[in-house]
Amino acid sequence: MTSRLPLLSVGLAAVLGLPAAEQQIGEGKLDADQGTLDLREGFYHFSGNVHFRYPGVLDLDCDDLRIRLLPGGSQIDRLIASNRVVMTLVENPSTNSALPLRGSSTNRVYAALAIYTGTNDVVTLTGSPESGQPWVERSEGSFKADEITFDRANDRLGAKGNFKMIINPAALPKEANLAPRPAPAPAK
Amino acid sequence: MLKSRSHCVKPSLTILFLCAVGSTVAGWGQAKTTNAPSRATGFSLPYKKEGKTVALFTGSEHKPLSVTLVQIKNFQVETYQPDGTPNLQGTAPECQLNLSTRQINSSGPLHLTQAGGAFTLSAVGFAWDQESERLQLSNRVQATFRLSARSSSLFARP
Repeated sequence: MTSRLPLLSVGLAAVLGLPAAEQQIGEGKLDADQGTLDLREGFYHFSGNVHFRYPGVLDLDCDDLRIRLLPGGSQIDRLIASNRVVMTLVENPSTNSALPLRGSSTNRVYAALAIYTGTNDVVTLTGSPESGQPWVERSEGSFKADEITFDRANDRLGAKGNFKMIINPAALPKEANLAPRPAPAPAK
Repeated sequence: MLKSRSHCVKPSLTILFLCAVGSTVAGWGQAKTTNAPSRATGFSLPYKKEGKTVALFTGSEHKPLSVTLVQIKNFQVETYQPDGTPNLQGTAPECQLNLSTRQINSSGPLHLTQAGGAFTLSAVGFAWDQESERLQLSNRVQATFRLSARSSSLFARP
């Protein structure tokens, strides 16, 4: 079963770079202990204390990062971050007035494996050293599942298997009308 | 038989390399190429594939360390796309070229830039194998990518 999670997907949508909020070109810096470049296959492999920093947008820490480019192209075929994957994603405020929570926030994503597939623009998160599940934390709450997928092309977040979501009540605005109100008592 | 033959070849390769710096050894081509800029340096060695220069290795000085090993100072490498357009440019203060394995190694720094500035990369200690088009970076890898928030444009080739 796939759950749609519009509340938390707002953050990922913004920071993973959805077309609606195309951002300016910036510089991302990567540090690692070792690296291998396969110039023929367009394959890059960084290992050991991999830290990727894209100020204001994304921090990625992992032990192993593999990037494969599409043949002869300029797009990513597949990006695989593995072993102790921690992503910190900075979210732009949403302009969607239908959402009860619209403030800017920071998302922290934990997983054992994060795979981005360029052909369908999907990020898949699986595993984690602590609980066996990837999880996403933000100020309004957190959720986890056996597999979390983010479909960037369609702006959808999916959670498969043992899904659990915790929402911090304090984060809900007082004026939010999330639950149906009881019907007014009949006039006497 | 094969072994003794290879022993005969290696010294002659070295002599050709050191004298003409443009010996043709299965991929290593003439110093002056048609689609790569020629350089007036102490050392220049193109690497060809199917008649086209795909890489050009240059240096200001070279010194033989053994029959197959050559030390190169102020090493520079340029690689090219199949159509001849520049791809990568690399520099290293010093490295060693192994004529037998066709590998270039160094325990020192390497700085690499992609044409167009899409990314720059530096590391300490490297092994460049042009035959397999593989570059191994041993320590302190640092890379800078110019990118937009849409990650599909990350790490773009020029």
